[in-house]
Amino acid sequence: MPEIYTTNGFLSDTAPEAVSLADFLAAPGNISAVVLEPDSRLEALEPYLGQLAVISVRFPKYADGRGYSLAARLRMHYHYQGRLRAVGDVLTDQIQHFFRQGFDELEVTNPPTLARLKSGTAPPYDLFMQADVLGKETTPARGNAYSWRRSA
Amino acid sequence: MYRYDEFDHAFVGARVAEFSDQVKRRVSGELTEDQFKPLRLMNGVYLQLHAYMLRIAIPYGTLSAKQMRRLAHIARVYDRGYGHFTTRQNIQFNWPALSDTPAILQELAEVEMHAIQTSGNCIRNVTADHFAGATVDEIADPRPYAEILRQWSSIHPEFSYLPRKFKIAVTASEADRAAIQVHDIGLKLVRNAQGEIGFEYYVGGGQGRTPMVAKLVSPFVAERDLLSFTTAVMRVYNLYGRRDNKYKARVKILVHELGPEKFREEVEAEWAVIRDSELVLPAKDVAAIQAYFAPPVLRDRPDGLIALADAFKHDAAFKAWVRQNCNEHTHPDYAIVTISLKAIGAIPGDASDVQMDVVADLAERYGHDEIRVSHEQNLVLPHVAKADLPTLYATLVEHELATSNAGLISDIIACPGLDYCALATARSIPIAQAIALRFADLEHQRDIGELKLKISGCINACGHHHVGHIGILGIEKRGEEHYQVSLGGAADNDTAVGEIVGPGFSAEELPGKIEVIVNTYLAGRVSHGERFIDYTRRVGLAPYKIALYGAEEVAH
Repeated sequence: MPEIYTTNGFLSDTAPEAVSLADFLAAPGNISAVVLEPDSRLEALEPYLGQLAVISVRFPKYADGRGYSLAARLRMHYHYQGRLRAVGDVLTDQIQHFFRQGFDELEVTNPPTLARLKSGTAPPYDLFMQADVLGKETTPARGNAYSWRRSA
Repeated sequence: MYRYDEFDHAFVGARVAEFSDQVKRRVSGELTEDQFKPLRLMNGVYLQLHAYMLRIAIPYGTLSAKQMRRLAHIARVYDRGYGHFTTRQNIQFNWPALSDTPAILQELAEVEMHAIQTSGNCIRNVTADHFAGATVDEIADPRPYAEILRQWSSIHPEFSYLPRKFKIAVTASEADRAAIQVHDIGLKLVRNAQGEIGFEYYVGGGQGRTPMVAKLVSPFVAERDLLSFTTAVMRVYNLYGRRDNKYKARVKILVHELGPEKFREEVEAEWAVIRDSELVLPAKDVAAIQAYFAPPVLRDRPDGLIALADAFKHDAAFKAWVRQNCNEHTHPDYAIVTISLKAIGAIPGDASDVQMDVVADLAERYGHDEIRVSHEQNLVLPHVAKADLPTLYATLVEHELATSNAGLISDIIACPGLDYCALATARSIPIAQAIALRFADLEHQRDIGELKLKISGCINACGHHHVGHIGILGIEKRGEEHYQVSLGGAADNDTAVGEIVGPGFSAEELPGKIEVIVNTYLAGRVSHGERFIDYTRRVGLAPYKIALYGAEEVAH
């Protein structure tokens, strides 16, 4: 069973078994977890968002950033409230991006990234120049979400 | 100009620490070169033909004397005594050791500079008019908007892994000096009927192997909507831009394949959801950034009128320099000075450590501590009293910085080419040098008048050859360097892609052929006032073809 990294550290995976978007749309039944690919279209999923507990977004290559925008749309356009999981080839340097784009948890396959997360040596950031996808102030200690508002 | 506060220092410091860590991980083998590549690129480190290259961001081309001195210091200590100013208002160092790059970034951080996002598939340095804040023809200083975009796009969580690199340019005047229509996003500040500031919003321009002029996606995006609209454009591009072929991955291809109408619909649909979100840019935020760009207090210096008239009487070279390299300033006692980095026979855009120090001194003494880098690879002192021009000029002359060729045929844009670049297929620098030497006589250059000659050493077009009045593209043909010539390109308000005039030429033939082209223009123009580009637009390529290849060849 894969370990899941969250802002609270590693947890064991409690998510229900997930199916592909195509399989889900063919027979949604009471399935509550789905896996999206970088090129998945979200429109067809909209009527079922309420029944989904976990949506996973695959990142087959770390350089393919489409999943970040899928997350933004799930959170901002569709107000999806369930868990959002990123799955795949994740470099340590990207971890913060996921949480800021509305993901709750990461299923990490990249061995060096896993090693660094476990040893607690992944570089942490708490300094950002813009709001996160929900418009949250990510650095309350440092002032407002937009860096220039520090002096406004 | 923008000044770092505690937050900015901490932000850049954290990135330096992170990059030092990444270099360590690469050296230890934890990161493969493939995994390291996007990370080093995000910090401006390229692997070139002979060595690593470090590209340092100069946001919208604005520098202080202290920053310029630090660049000179880096050139001296970590490189071979020079730096290369680029067409994106950045500077590149060609010979740093990888293990020195964290130390260089630390030196830069101390003077509020960095190399973040100067490469990689992210939003690059935001460029702007190099005369911004000084020129008479702008409606407002475009740099505060460039700074807002810079901050918003820095280490952006959604837009750091785009299909391809992404370039934004901002201008605020009718005479576009920032080439906005050949950028991924080009912004032109405008006022609507109510006098409110907004942007003519262009998307999908670019050069490379598929040159395209940007499409007007909106005639007026209000100031408050700058970030929400830009986010919508970026999100549509991030999701739908092609990732299957890096040569088709720029936003210009998406705009072209969808068509501007469909692209606009996608952007509008995205924007409708987010336009009233946290991304709204209130006027007070803009005002806070504008405060950093308050114009310097310029006291009246009416003595300049007499000083210039006097100097003109006995120094024709000085007079020619003022005419060619100085532009009108909003304050009538002041001028905008272009310092040519195109001495005849020199490498376009290169400056030695000594030259950088000299420019820093001059900026401090006569230029209100401000320096600009132009996308045409020159330096600019935007606020110099006319009364100080004679002394300033004398110092520039001593350091080979006083060539009176701004905008003339020897003011050449050239990419580094096969002398440095791993992508190049031909040399650019020796071609630029040979052409400049062929037209060395400045009086002759002035007679020819405004002529933008641009040279790229490969199809990627870093030397902007597509938009040169005369564009030269170096290719490899049967193991030889071979040069294609295009005519009629432009990167101003009437942006156009040049048309290839005919079969190309060898490096040896080329300078002579450029002379044939120029002589054809000189013989055909109706008056001195009809510039090369005007003439070429009027008559097309036929006279050039006849002159280059003979009437008989053309008839076939």
